[in-house]
Amino acid sequence: MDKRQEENIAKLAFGDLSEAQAAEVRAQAAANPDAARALDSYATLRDDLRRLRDVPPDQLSKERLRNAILTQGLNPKPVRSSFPWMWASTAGLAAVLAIAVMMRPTEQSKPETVAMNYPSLGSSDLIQPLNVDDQGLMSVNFNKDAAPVYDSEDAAAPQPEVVSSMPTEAMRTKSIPAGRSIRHLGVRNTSWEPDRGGLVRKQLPQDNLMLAKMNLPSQGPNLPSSQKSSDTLVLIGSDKDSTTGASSAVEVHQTQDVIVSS
Amino acid sequence: MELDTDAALVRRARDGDYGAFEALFERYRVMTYRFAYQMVGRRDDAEDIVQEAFVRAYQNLHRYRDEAKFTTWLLRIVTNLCTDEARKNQRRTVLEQQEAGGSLDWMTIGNTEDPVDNLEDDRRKLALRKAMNALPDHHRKMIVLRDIEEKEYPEIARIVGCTVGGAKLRVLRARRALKDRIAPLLGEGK
Repeated sequence: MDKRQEENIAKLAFGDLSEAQAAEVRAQAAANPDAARALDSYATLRDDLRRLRDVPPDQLSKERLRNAILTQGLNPKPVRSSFPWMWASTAGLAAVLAIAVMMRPTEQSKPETVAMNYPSLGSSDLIQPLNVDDQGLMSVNFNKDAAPVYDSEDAAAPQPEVVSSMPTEAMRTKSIPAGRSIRHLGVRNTSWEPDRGGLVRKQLPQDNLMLAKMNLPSQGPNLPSSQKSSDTLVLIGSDKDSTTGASSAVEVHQTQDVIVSS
Repeated sequence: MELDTDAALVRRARDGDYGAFEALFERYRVMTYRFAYQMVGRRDDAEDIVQEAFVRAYQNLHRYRDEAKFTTWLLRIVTNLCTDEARKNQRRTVLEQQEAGGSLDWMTIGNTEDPVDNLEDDRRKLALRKAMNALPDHHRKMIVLRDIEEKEYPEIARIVGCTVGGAKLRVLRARRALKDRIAPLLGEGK
């Protein structure tokens, strides 16, 4: 008896065949003892299952149901996920990604080498602390005795760089409007006389200084010192270092008020 | 009458008429209880399942779509609860029966009539119940729906969520599995 025949016998026993099909299968079963035995077995099973229909009476009641509804609440329970492991794996993946992002080296953490050529000022006594007048302009006092003096014809003498602009009334000044950002603004250098503060300076070619990136205070120069900008001003000279070829530069830490002389 | 249809009662229940929901409960309490009892084999478990099914139905009435029959939707809830319960009870029943040495078999076959007059009948019932309990849940569900509660194939298909052809095939497989299991219990060869 093959599987197909057994299926038909089961259908016959449970009444799932039409009259014509039932007659055909019944005839096949009569000719085959195994099929006849299977038919008898399925028919007995069907009768036994029908006897299972008797069930004891229930003790359910409307009051019991009402109490259950009131106890459990009128709103549906939150559905619990059938696959909590999926959420766990997702959370784990997110954690791994977060760790990977945190462990990735950032550009800021990379060591950066900047070639700077700071001019030697000789003695630390050369520049005195900055003075700010009532108009917010800066001035620097130089210790004339501490500054090395070079002759203009002395070609071997090193050329000190400008360390700060020193606005005076005699100088033509141009103030930069507050709140304006300056990038790579060309600055014309002014030679200062030795008797104006003691800075010994020779004539430098024009446009040999550059104002590197700088932000100006938005409220003008007459602000309290706590509100003034503390951005660093870098003055880049045209002189090249003989060994590295890098331009010399001077970093000025006080930029509350910048006046560019022209 | 329009007021007595399942759909009308469901609408009224949705609108806050608890009496309408109680009418649905009275109408389908026995049907669901019978199905649950056949599935889990214990009266108290079956009652708990039916009660829980109606509670869930009440809480989720807003999700019920009118195009489906209410009984189909309700039986689907009961079926899912029975599956969960059967899973929980499977081990418990085995342990209890082992502990009692088989003396608790009467608990799982419902109301026995006269054990003296119907010894053979009880023996077959007991064997069949054991075989049913040993069946996988998806087979037992098909046997109960089709061969005990005599549901039509289209409704079975809606309850279990398959096609009519799929329902017929599942019933066929379930019958074969049950026959294979009961034969050794009755001392019958294949």
